[in-house]
Amino acid sequence: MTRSRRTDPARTSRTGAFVVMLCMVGVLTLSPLRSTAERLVIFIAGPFLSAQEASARGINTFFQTFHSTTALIEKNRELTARVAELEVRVLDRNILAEERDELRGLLGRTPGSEGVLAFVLASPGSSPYDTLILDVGSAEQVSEGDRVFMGENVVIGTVTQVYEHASRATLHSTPGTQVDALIPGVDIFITATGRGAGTFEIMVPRDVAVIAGDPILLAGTARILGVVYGIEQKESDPFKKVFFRTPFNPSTLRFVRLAPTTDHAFEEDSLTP
Amino acid sequence: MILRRIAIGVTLVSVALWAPWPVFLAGLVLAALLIEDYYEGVAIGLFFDLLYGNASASSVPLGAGLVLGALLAGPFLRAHLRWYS
Repeated sequence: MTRSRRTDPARTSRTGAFVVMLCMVGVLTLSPLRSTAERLVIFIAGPFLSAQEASARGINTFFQTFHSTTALIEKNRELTARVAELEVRVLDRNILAEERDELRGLLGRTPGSEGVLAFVLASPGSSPYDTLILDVGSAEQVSEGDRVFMGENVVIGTVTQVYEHASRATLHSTPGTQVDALIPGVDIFITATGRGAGTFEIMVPRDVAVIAGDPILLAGTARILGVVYGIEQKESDPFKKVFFRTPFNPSTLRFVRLAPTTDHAFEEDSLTP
Repeated sequence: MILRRIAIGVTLVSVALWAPWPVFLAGLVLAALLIEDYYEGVAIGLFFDLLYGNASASSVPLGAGLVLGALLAGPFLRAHLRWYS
């Protein structure tokens, strides 16, 4: 006797399991229960992410021992020259920074805080969401809305979720995200659209003078959002598309600095009170 | 069979931690297509979505659709394609 398809218990239980699973996916991804589930997942995954980062570095070091000596010597020479070049630039920058702090002091503005140094547990290379998982949270005075810096002056995102000993930051370059930006020198305020992995695009009038290598600032601040690397322009189009990206690849980040937006050092340097 | 499913699950989690995310997604979709009732794959995908994603609705990934589609397609392919079963 053949079983009717409608009363097949195996089929019924499979359909039921599928529906339950679909409801679970919907509830956990779209509802307020998500934040509770996220907290639990971060708590469980935190130690594993730290171990993963350490082991990835160990594996990398192991494989580097198999590179040829000649290639390593050449690479070393290249990097030494690059470091020397950057040291000179840093000296210039340090002089300017000291002058800036002196001027701030004269205007009665307090110097900015160092912020909180955070270790990146997971970066956009591991995740499709352009988010960073950081090893600092509310216990280290991190708050939602804190700015995330790469190095001294490059702002890359904001803290969007804070847990006790971890936090999640969303990069400004998350696909579809829009952020207000400024082209210095030209002083045009524009809206930059994230394209993922630290890259952005903006539309500017065709006669705006922008070239590869120009910095783009976060609007209302003197903080760098990125550096122009490409321009796309069609003959008949009154606008041109400018592409820029963060100076460093976000997927290779190991440390970032977090600073609250109430930090006066974050605001644009200006001689007018 | 259970040991094989556990091994595949551990492999997928390792891939999620050490390899780029498209590799993990491709592995998850393949596992959902080839293994019958691979609901633990959905749980693994959900775990990583909760870990890396954010609270906006747009965090419901295309990947979920691909994995669920693979779960639905698997039994159909097994029933109708001789080379698949």
